[in-house]
Amino acid sequence: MRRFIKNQRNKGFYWLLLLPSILFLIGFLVIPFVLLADLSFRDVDAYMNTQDTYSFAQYAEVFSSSTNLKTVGITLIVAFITAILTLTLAYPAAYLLVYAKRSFVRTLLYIILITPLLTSMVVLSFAWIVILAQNGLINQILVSLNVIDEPLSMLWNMQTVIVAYIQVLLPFAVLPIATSLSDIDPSLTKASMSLGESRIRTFFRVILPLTIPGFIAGFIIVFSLAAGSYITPLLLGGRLLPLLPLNIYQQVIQMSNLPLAAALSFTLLAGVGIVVSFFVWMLNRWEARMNG
Amino acid sequence: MDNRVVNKKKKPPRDWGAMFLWIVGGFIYLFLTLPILVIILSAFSPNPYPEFPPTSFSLTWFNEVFTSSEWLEALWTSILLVIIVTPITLILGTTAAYAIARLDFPGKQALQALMMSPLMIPHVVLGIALLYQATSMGWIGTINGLVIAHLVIAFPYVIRTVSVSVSNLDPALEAASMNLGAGPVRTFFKVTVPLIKPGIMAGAVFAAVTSFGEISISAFVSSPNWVTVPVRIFNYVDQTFDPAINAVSVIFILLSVGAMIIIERTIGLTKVF
Amino acid sequence: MSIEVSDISQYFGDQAALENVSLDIKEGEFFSLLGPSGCGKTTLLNIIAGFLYPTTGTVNINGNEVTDLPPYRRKIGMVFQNYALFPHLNVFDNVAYGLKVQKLPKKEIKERVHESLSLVKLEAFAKRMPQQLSGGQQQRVAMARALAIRPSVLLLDEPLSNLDAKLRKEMQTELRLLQQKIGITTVMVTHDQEEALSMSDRIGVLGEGRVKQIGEPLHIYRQPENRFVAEFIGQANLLEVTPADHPPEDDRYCYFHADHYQDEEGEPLKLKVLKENLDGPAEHCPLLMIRPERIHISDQASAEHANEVKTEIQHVNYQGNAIQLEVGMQGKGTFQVQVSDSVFVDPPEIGMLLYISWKNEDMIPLAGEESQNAPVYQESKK
Repeated sequence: MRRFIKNQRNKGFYWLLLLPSILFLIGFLVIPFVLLADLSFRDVDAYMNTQDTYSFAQYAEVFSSSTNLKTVGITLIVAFITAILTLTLAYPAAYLLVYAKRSFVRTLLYIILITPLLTSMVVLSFAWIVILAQNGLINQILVSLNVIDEPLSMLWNMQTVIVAYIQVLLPFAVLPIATSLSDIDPSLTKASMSLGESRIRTFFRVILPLTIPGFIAGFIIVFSLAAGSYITPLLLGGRLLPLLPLNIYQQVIQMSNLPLAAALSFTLLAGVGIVVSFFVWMLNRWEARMNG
Repeated sequence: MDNRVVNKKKKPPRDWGAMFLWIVGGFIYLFLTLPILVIILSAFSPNPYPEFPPTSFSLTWFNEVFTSSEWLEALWTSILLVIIVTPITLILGTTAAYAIARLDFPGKQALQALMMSPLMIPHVVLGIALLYQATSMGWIGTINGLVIAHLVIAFPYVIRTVSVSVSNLDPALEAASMNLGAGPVRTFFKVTVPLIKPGIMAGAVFAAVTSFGEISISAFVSSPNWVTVPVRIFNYVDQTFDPAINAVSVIFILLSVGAMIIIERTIGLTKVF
Repeated sequence: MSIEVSDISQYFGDQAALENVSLDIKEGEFFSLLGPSGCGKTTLLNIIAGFLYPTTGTVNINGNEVTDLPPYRRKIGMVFQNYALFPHLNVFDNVAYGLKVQKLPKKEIKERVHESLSLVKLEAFAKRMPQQLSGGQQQRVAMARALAIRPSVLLLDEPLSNLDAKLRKEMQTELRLLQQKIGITTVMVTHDQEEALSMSDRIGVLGEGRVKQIGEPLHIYRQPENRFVAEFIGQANLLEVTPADHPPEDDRYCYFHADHYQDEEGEPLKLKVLKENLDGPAEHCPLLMIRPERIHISDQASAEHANEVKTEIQHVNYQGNAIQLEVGMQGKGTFQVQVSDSVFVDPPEIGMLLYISWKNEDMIPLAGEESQNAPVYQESKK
């Protein structure tokens, strides 16, 4: 009985420790989203002032405008392409990280991988401007090698944004894949080869299926970050690119149409949420299959 | 037995696959480092544009940064935020990560997901949500919006690092402490906290680095009086090209390398990422 | 098919994992590589399988050199210590894995998978995932998978070491019967001497990267050629001896002193060995071995045995069917003696006097440490 009481008292203590964070999360994460949801159903007047009346006007605007729908589609497609390309590049990078024989090589690769993670997104985006600008690094090198006469215009398009995204987001994909890879028993590769399968086909028949958890984890994070970021596209692609986060930012900063921005935000959340849920569902299905 | 004398050493057949993998992988890592290399190259060059190969060395741009009142003000705002945000997130994150590891209740996973959600939610959405809240609270022109934003965004990192430490902690040690007559509060401060200190330290580094580099939400909630360094860079780059940004960027890179060293020394890079 | 391993050496940096190892494994043979951990047996198996490229030497399978072939071109079946079943594939797909590589028609794949699974009596488990099987079942799936490709040879890497003792015994018999039924040349790596002795046609004992002895199980146990083999397999009383003067009238025997064994007067133990039992002159025989179970005991002296020693029981280890005794001479030196439980009515007590004796032919002369590198290779080619 005494033991029981003591146990209960501990539980009380743990709840006491947890309480401030719960209050904090409610106050500054849950309530802001509730307010934002509320905002997305408000009307605006001709001067974009938020009214006290509620309607579906903002959502109607989002879903009736073909430009808006196209933007949603392009945003998801760009995020999808970014995620696929990033994950494709992540495999060789993760392989090197996991199978590097010398520990100093592994440490070096780790440092290269983590530095961008800890460096501000705006700094990395700026670096890409320095690389790709008219008088940037690549144009200088190409001109001095006489490959081109006139500097190329490489900024302000979607491809550039995707390239920069890949660089910024690659570590998020490499790390979960590396974790999955290092969990694979090396004798599985040997078993496959002893059964006559070449190294490359062993990768597709054994390694790739077994890194699905890492792949999906990487995909989810890269996809949601790519779909939700406006810094990189704004700096490298310009304000006019048809990307939803850019559009939301414009609505807030230039148009001051907060209700429409809120409605666009929930559209973005829903779009990302659907894709992410699908991948989570796939992951669960795969795990269920593995365990029979 | 005589064939033992013939000890000719043979070369194994070349492993083209592995070589190809190393070349491809090498390029990928080069691609990853490229922006950082370019920044460093440009920051120490006297010219406004990068040169390759570099022709001369200069600290012009650093000088410009440290004599510009605008950059210094931004730097001060950023440092002030780190000073405010780090201890608060540490206390919130440490207590929460520890308590949630020791509790079991329905909805625990949902709460954990909520705690980590600022990492996943599109930052542009988080940005307006917090901007709208700050506006509703009448925080225009104050630092409050920035503080809240940075707390929200740094919190999950502390949760993650401390959770790693807590999961490595043998609950038997706490049981032993309570068995020896110490109450839960005493046990928490005398046994638990010292043992999860590496996780707390790494969490502090993460919170500081995250706060210092945060841009997506800060760009929404900052006001003309309170501009952080990343927001300053963002505003500048958006309008003009200022080579001094290279020098500022080098500071960021140095900080992230320093942070990496501390994390590696405390709980190890491989554990957090 | 036969396997010939000639002069294989493997260096990892300066470290030699294998040095000049040669083996000649005959068609249909069950050959065990036995040795303590770190002796290089797994390295050798990996070289035969093609996962490691030897620093020097060659591997031939059925007369064709395969040293330069990658593992997937060798058609070698392999069973791994942890079975290495693909966790994302069910039993059927695991067994079919190698057959799909060969692009066989679906129908044939199905037939051969069922054939393999029926060999290991697991037809009913085709749809299960590996995680749902017991250790013994996983082991059998691994066998079926290796055999399904109809390999030229079968390599087993500690195949039974993850099973509990009782199951391991059953699987030893099952595995051996299966191997004989198919008649496939098999190389098994093991550190378990009982397993090697009971399953193999021949055993290669490896130690410190070298072949210490090759031979049939009986021969390896009864006639070890050196100290390493004698000590690694079974228990052994090893007597370091020096040649002694012998009476001129008796030249059928060589006489020795064992200086570490002394009676109560400090006299060293005297031994005589039939000359024909020695390989060479007495000077070349530094060690004599006597197996504990070859020692007879009696409570009184008899004139019958030439090699009789008066001892006192120092330690009794009751093992159920047998009793292990440690008996000491009254000066110095101890012997390990193993007797059947039925020898004693009442268990022996410490301090009891015991006369121990052995037959002349039960003293096995061994090569010393320095001559361990002697070619022990030709013996196997009977």
